[in-house]
Amino acid sequence: MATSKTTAWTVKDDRRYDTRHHWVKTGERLLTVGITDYTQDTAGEILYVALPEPGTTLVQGKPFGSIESGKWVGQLYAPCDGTVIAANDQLAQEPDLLNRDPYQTGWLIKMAASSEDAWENLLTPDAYREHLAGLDEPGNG
Amino acid sequence: MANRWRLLDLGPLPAWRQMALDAVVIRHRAQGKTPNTLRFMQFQPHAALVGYHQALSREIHQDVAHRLGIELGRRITGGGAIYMDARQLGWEICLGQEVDALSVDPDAVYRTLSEIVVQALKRWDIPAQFRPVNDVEVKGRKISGTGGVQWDSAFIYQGTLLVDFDVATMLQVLKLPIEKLTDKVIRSFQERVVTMAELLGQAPPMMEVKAAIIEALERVLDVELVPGVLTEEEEQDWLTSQESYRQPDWIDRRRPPHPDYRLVEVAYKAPGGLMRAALQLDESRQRIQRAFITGDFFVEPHRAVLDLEAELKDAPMQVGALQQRIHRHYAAGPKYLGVTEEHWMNLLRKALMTDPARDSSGHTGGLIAHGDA
Repeated sequence: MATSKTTAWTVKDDRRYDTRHHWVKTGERLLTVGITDYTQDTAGEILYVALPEPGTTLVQGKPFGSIESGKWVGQLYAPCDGTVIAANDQLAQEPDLLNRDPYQTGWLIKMAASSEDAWENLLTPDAYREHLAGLDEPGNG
Repeated sequence: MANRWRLLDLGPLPAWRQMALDAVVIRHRAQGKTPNTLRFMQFQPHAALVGYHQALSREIHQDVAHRLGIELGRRITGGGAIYMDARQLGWEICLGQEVDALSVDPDAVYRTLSEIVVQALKRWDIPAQFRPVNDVEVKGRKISGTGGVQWDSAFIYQGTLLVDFDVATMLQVLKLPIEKLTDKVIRSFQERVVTMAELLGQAPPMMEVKAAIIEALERVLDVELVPGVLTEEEEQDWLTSQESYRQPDWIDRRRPPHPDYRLVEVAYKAPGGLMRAALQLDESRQRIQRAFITGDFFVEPHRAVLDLEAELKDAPMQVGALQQRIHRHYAAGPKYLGVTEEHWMNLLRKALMTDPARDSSGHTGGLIAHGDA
């Protein structure tokens, strides 16, 4: 969803991003994926979340789940190829965790990436900040 | 020159074919293969449709639907369960994200789209207005609702317009906060919605309603609508995918841990009169799914009760959160006689304190609690 808002959305330095406003954090073996402050802010109060079962194959850029707010359904897109290892079950009962704590307890899935290059292909925090800044410019969206 | 959009009007179709076509049209728009599109939707046979994330078991009386020949379906858009028959007009626009007139936040998008309905109804001098978040009302009674979905770089915004409406059938097939379907309950729900037929004495011809929406959309979004057809590729995609939209894998895909909502009915005697609330509680999400408020107290304007129901929809089942919503409702200025914010909280506290173990789940036998002010 495009926006005309000129808010400074929080972008954490300890992870990477994609242009669809997901964050990706790397651990020893797994990547953790979530939505950014931008998504939770522009979506409004999130009421439903649908996430994939562990074992689901993820294809970069293809939907793996969905969120709903105010009768609006938005898709969640895989930031890279891989396999779902775990989904955040707590979100089924507390979807508003995505609004309250999108970068920590509101994580979506943990995944194993198919390629070691996955991390390198994501946006750095500064590149994502630039991407967000571009959204605020008139005519962009 | 105005942008040219495609107009699709395939006439009445079964729900599963309509839902499949939604997915086809948005996918092809996202791939840049088709233009922005206005599509009219009419349902034959009549259908009960749940929103994308809803569970069939919680929203629809499936035995009633089966007995009345009502098809079941799942939308790709969000929002609540709806009942659609050939007397209502569904309409949707499918567009890429570059449409300037809609490059704003979601609230503003809904407001703009609702303006299309408001403008269309002016043809009959019907004084409609936007009702946040995404409805259109006439003197407090809902006549149109909208919902949406995003797929990659494309969006669908859907709306319904109550040209005419069979409230009695809707009340039978949808699971609403109703303990027993009495004439009084039917009348009360009828007060919450209004149709063009009721306002005008008879339903206008559907072609005229469509023409009014086309004209209004062209004006509000500054586009030109050109009657069109599906592309060959869309046709093929539709043919191969539509069958899956009538299979349980799609329609019944959401199976929540609690297959039904818990229905709670509470009453509270305030100085201004008796207040009653029937609430559907979603215990999985700890939210009030839907509220139905009645009573013999006085409030001006009368529609304040409907506004309060809207405030309570999807509200967390927590005292603090409910206090905030009640306070916000009073801040909007309704004038209750002898009914204060605290009285509403006393009523809602009763609902929250009902014991699930003592209360039947679903729709047979809620708990009535009475209290004194």
